[in-house]
Amino acid sequence: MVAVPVLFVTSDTPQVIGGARALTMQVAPAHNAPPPVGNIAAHLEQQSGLSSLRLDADYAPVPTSTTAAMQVMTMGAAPNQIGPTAFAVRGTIDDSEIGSAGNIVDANGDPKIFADPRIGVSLTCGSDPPVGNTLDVRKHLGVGRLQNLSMDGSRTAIAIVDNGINLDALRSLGLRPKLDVASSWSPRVGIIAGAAPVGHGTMCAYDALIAAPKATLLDYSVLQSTRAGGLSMSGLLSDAILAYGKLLLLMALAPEERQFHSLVVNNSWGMYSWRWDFPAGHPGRYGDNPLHPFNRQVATLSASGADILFAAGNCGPICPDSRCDRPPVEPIINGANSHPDVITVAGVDTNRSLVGYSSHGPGALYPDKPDISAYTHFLGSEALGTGKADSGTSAACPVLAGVVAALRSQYAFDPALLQRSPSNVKQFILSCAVQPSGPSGWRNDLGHGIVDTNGFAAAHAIA
Amino acid sequence: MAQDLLVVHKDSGAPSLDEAARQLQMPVENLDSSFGVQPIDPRAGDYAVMTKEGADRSDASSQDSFSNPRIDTFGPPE
Repeated sequence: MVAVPVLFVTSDTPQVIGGARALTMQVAPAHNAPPPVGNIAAHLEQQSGLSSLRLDADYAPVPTSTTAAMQVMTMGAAPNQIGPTAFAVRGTIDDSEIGSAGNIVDANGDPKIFADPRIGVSLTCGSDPPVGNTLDVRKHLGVGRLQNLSMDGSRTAIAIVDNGINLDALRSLGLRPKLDVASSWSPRVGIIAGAAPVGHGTMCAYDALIAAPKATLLDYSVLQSTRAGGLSMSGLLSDAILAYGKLLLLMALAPEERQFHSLVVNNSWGMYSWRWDFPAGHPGRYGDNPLHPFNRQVATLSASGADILFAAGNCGPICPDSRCDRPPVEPIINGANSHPDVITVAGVDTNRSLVGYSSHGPGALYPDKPDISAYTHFLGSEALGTGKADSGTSAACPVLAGVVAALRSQYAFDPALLQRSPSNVKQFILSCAVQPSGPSGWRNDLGHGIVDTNGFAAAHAIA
Repeated sequence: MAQDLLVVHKDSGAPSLDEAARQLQMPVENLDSSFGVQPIDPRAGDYAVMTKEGADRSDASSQDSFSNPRIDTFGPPE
């Protein structure tokens, strides 16, 4: 049974007036005066006829009219002058009694029990329509300015570790994507790079190309569930270990053996629930264990020079995904998504408001997560359906991956130049981010702020 | 029995599946050849292997293996 918040209207009895006065005006009851509202709750609970009604004893009865308000303000005011709807109090009933609550009426036949719905700031949630479109994202990112600086993704590769890319779909949207088939990979025989069904991976590829239209895509199609009844966008971490093993071999090649000088790795996936992991304290656990093989692989790949991005997740407090732990189990951002060597990306819409499902920090492997926010929930690829938003922190992550690739096209990774390390480039990007409101600095929802490329023309820190 | 994710070590170069199996004291047939031997931290000499589904590890400690959790995309919230 679930306790449902309700409002209950009641008469201007001496008890109710006294309770309102005591709580609102912090007036001690006079000798022989009616008891505070806490002691009238039982009376009202009995009056309602609902066995599960529990009143909030700390909520002062609210007058519903000026006359009722005067009864509170005026000592010695006569009670029982107004009627059954003079004051409102709040409490809860079991959801099993919602139907019965509708039958509780006053002498006039009017209802006495009303809903008390949750209210809050209206943030974009999963089922909301798109907010803005690709052009808005391009404008916010300053793509025109980036291209004037020759920051367009040239000579960089963006590995989309996902459920596959469909090149034809990207071309139908007017893009001219480049795919390095030889450097792409899938663990499953018969999966052709660039020819996956249109879906999540295609969305990520599209979003990465917004800021880096000349980047070369690498298709790492690993999220192909073979479990009976599994979604096609599911997988096992071991598939990611295989992918990262290939990426490590790629980065071990001499630069002249690769078609790119810098590699950006996009990961718009993660572990939604701690229930999917080994139990707490097990030495083989993944979510909070830096010694887990995959978390170690992430560190190794970063050390080899790859810029690695992970989505923060969709377990935000306002409208979390149904797969998230309920109640939430902190830290919510876990595993490689919280790794200190990666850029963890939260989501804002094109109104520059945090989306309600974007996961908040801290992180399990590193506390100050997410790192930064980027744009999501916009009308973009429509890879998930006509009119459907590119959404989730899944979309925010590749939007930022494209920005990283754009930056790298001018500031290529070079193992001989410490200022070009993934760590230093990450710090530079974070230093350029802007908080939409309030003081600068890190926050557990937006990270260091929303991605901003205004400072990219003066990238002395990574030059 | 589910597949176990395990770590093996070799100081120089990646071990073969046979070498990994000997280190783990199990028949090489118990290891998933399609997963193979994956680099974790080659400088430290550490690599990952995975047992096949149904492989008998009754003599192995349950503490040796690492979690292989489900992962899902963070696309449109459900």
